[in-house]
Amino acid sequence: MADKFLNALKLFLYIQKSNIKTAFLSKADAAVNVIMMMVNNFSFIFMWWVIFENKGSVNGWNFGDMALLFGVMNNAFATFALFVRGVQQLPEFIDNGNLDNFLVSPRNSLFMVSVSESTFANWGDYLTGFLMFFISGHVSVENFFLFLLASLFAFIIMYALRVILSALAFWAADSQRLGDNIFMAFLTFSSQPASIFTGWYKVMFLTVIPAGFVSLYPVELIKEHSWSALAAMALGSTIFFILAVKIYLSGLKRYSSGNRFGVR
Amino acid sequence: MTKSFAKYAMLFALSFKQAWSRKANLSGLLFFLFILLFIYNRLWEVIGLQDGVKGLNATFIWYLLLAEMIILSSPKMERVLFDDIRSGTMAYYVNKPVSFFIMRYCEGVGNMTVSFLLMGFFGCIVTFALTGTPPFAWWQFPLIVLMCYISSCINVLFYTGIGLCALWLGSIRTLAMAFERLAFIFGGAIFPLSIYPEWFVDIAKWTPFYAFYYLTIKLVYDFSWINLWNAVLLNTLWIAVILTFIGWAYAKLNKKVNIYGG
Repeated sequence: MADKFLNALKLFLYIQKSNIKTAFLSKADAAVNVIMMMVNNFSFIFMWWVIFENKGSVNGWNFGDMALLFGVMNNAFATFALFVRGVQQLPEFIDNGNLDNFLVSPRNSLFMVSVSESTFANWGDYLTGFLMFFISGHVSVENFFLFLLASLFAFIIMYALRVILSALAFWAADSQRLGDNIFMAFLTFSSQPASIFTGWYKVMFLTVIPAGFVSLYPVELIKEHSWSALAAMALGSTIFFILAVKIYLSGLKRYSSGNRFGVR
Repeated sequence: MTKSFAKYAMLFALSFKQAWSRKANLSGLLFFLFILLFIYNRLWEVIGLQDGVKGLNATFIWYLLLAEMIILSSPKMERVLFDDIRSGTMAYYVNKPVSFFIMRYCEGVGNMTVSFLLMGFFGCIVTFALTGTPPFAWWQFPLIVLMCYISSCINVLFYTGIGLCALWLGSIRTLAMAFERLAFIFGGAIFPLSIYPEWFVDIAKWTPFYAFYYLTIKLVYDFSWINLWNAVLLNTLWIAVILTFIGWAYAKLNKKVNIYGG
């Protein structure tokens, strides 16, 4: 088991090294992409800054809270896009039979699909994420570690949800855009001040679309050092991850191979 | 001339039918629109309650609906063009009796029209249910929607033009995303520019997004013949600028394909 894990880790690190080398083939292009990503992020953050400048706070949340939320979201998304973005292509692999290439590999197929794509530009998300933490007004060594932990849990929830959405393709053909749109809806939900969701809205915010795990609990954890928030995130991410793997495996049983020939 | 128009009309119709048949895609789009309207309605409801202003959500959510109809209905034309250019597919089309660029544009508009109509129909029902009385008179509505459709066509043209940047860039995704985000803020696509600081609005006025998005969409809560005329005039001006860039980039592209092949 430990051997398998170490082997997978070695392969993962090797793939990341290759991704970085490939991106650096054109250094100017890589730099432009990272800068563009940051422009993209700061444009969105600016919009919210305007709202908080005008209104002061929104149901108890201020710009510092939003900065924490953006910090966690950006880190989680950067981790997703840099290391496991391939899972987003799963519906396409299923529809055109390319999944065969991953199934014939002796490694775990979900792992292989996940690491098959990376977007270098998302290093810009990490830069934005850490910058947002430092301007949030909640800077301390302890909070920094909580911030990293919250980002990790948020990433696991994000990844698990994306696996579930992509695995829909085992049951419904041509579901790439459907999954993309639901995932976008999740990201949109997650990047709102959690304070606007109260009562039944909050229940939905935490269950139907598990956005609360990415926005509400991380901010509570860092701001208030709430251990219940930490427990909720740990439990939520574990349950969602197990559920995602189970759904992927049960979908895999339905998969009928394509007729393409190729090795990856 | 008529023959040429018929060819492109056929391409439009074909792409319309193809887009219409992708039910899963369209459902995903409508779901995303619903979530957006729902979330931002909640946000403006909360802000309205906090500030003691009634009907704040109606103004902003109708505004948001029209903005999203323009933005979300646009297919990822820059990626299509990028793939065509990078993979050399474009070379297959240069000897066909259609202009490659107009062909792709017509396909894009056909695709956009399906999403625009569906989002308009579904979005109006949801927005009406969420907010009640709209901030415009009903006789103004067809004109507002027509202006939004024209803006959507310009939007498709703009992103098709961005696709031509594949001539110089190795990846188009981030550039398009940054433009999309700049369009969001300079065009006031989520929050109207009226809430932004004045210095920012002064900058936004120099960008095309101000005309495509803000001037057009704000007709929903600030309709007047002068505003309508301003929107038409400024949009026409930006079409001319975009077409000039496209003409120049397309000539370069054609030359490259003719010399080096696809």
